[in-house]
Amino acid sequence: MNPLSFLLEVGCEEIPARYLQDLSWRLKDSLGSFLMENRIGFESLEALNSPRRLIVVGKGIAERQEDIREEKIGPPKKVAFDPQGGPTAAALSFAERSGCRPADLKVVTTPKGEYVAAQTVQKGDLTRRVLEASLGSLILTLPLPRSMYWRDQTGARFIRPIRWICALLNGKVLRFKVDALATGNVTFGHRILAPRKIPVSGVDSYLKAARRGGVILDPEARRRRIVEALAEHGKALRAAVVEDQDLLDTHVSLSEFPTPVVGKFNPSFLRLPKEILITVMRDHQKYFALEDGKGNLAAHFIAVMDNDSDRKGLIRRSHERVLRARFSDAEFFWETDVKVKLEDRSGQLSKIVFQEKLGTYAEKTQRIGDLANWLNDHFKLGVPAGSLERVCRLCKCDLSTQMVREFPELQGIVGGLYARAQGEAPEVTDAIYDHYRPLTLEDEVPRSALGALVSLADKLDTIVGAFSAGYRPTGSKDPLGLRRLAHGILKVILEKSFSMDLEEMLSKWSVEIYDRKGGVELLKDAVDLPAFFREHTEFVLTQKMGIPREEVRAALATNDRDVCNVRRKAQALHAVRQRESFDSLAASFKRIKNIIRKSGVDFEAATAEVEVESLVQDEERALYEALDHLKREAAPFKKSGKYEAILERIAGMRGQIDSFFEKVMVNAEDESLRRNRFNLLLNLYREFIQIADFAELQAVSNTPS
Amino acid sequence: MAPLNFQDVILKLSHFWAEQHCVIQQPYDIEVGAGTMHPETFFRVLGPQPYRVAYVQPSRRPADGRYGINPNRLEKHTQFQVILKPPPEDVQTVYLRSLEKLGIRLREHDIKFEEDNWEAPTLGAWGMGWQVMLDGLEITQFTYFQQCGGVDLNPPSVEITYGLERIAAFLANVDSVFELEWGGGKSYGDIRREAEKQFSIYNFELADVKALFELFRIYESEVSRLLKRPAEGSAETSIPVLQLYDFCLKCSHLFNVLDARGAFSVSERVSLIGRIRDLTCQVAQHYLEEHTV
Repeated sequence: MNPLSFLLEVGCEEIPARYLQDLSWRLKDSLGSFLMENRIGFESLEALNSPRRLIVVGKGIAERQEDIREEKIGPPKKVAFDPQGGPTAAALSFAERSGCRPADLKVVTTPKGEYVAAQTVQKGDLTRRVLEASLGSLILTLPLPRSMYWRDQTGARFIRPIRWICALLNGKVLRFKVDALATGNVTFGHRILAPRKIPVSGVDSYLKAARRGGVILDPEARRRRIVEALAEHGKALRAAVVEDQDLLDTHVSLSEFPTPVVGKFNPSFLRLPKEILITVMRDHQKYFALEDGKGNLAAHFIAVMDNDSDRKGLIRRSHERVLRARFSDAEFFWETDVKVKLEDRSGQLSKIVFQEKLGTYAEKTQRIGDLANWLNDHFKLGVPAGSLERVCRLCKCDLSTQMVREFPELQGIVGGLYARAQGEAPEVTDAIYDHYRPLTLEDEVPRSALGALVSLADKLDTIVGAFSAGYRPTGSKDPLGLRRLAHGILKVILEKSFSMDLEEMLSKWSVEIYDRKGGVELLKDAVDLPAFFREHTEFVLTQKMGIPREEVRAALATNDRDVCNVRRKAQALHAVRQRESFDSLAASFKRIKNIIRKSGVDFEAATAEVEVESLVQDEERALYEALDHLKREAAPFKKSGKYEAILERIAGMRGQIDSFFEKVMVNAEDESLRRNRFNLLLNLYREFIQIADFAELQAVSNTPS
Repeated sequence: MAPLNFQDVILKLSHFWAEQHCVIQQPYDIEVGAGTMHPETFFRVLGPQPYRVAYVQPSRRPADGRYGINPNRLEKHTQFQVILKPPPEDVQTVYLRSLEKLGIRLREHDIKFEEDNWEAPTLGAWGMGWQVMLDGLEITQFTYFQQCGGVDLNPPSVEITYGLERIAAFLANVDSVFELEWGGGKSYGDIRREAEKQFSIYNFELADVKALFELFRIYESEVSRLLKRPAEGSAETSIPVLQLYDFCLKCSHLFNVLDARGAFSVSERVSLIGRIRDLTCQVAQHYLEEHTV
């Protein structure tokens, strides 16, 4: 069989940049699965794309599907052949049903005895026919983030209208339709550089046509082209491009022939804060900013055009004019905003709604202040009360500025900048500037404890309020971004090592303060908050801090409400586990847990005095003494959070525990013996469960012990 | 060749789209926020009949007024609106040809269709499409309407909305829209600046919130009253939906002035938009019922 080449180009009106790469991969993947499911061999599939096309290029495609060979079992041998060895009616009819000649029937031995069997072959169809029958629906059933129709409501839906399809198998058109559109052997050049039909006769001819047509089909080649030009322009200007991976990704998916072009702006704009200038350039114009070695912004920008050159400089000049207008707006906002003191803006906050059911920003400000203050006192975080009060009062005031209304993504940052310009103390301005951070788990936390505390109070207030008002996230729905906020809270607590009882913080004070200050009608959803945080603590510790899941679960099961402690325990467990085996301990621990569970005793509440004189066997005395020793030794380590030391000692008790279970009958006949042994185990459990739930640990065979 | 002035741009586009078999309509004579609100868009996109129309529509955005001082922000800007129902297959190419008619040599420029899914919440209308960027300047909103008046559109329409001031300023290479030559020896500033100032003063400083809310309620209740009229089956009792729609537009404009005045909170805002949308959606329903019988 001759391997064939394959080309599919789905020509579209501009596909949204943010979806392009995903869609392109998805098309390739679903084609790959389709070929495999249909027993069509192939050497490779490659995904290419541009804003106007989704492309799959295939190599070494088999000409036909593989045949399906099967052995069909028929009647038993003794029924199939007459005494003379000739086929009976049963054999003849089986042969006919199986599509083979009676002479080709074989005898096979099965566990049930000897039977007649027929080899059947279902011939594979031509790949061409299989593809023609299915490619149309394969394209239209790609999962899409959003779809639209363009011809009529019953017609095709896709991400944007499909305008042509070029589909070739070994140079010959694969004939099928998508909606009313028939496939062909033509592609189209770049809208501007080569706005015409180009006939193609195969994969190579197609790739050449694209090149001639001013289209770079490989997203990585487009990326390289942009990155290299950025570096070159930067070098020529003695400046470095401010790195921005998201912006680069956007441009890779926004042009068929991306070409960076340098423009400049009046250096007088440089007196505006850098953050504002960069945001205007990036978010509104998709420009790259440049800075010198000291981090000072250069009075240049780089736009990316979908064209090969700007001979007359028209493109550059237009970009410059647009940016000038944008910067002039920003300058106007800056100058008018800065005249009004942040403090004097606080009155405006009662007019800005925070969330429909959660009141205004004036109310939120009040709550943030109360909450931050309480956290600071209650957990002895040591943040100066005066600055804290000041930051809480001012942190939301920038919401009434024109700058934030125009650039909402700069909230907080703008407040910090205005505070600085208006002569607030540096610790206050920094904290205002930082208090929305971290926006993601990758983002930095606020620089100071002051900023971190306000960030915490702000986020906590939103989460508690949102849960109370019934906005808890479900499945893929999280309109208020509460999961992100929870991650932010955990990250702040962990990185700043804020030692605080999360549950106390959540369920007691925050809910109370909401009830009192917000006037929100509390739904009881807020009771689920500890579980919500627990779930996200596991996520943050495993996914972002790289601690193995078993260790994290073992630590979480200690019900320690201080997240920093949970991390310490999990890390300690992970470290000790590299050296010591907990395998037998895990098994024993599960056993102890079961014994306690079956007894129905509340392990926290039950009194469980062990009577030393009733310990009759050596093994139980040994275990008792080891436990007693551990308790005494562990007490100071618990206080200082040195869990590794405790775990080393627990691991050291393996021998006593194993011997105990080997030699001592817990379920003794004698009631007092039984009770005493049970109490011994309960004490052991109580001691261990403070450090980790060892039952979470699966046996690790390769751990040295 | 001298660049086109403001009125040349209007004339060229009108001529171009007339050649594409569009009815050339006139601007609507009630305040609207966008060309979409013109009945020639709102009603014509409903139902199955093919239709092509183009018109200029001065559009009021009270909150964007800047007293005629800011060179690029206007209380009233001018849209050129095109509706193509159903959308022709080469609609993007036709659109690009219209730019060439304005003297823009595409080969020398950077044109991008960047994702932008437009919606008009008070009209129950939305679609998918792009903003067209010319050398970094947004010059057109290009949308495949999927719904209008809360009704799925079958067939869909393409709406092309040109921002005329931006395009004319681009062609004339001026930084301020007020410097534009309008035509007849007058500048854009000569003709429009005073109006910008006066409307900004009213919208931001003098508008009587109570009175405007009262007007809003009057128009709203007039629509509700007529929608509730018992349908007795006779032709005389049929609902004059076009008149009702005019009152909806009045509500929409009053809403915009109140918004510029900062007269309501975010939640009130949402609920007011919902009230207008309810009315326009009912109007669209009645229109369809009467036009499909």
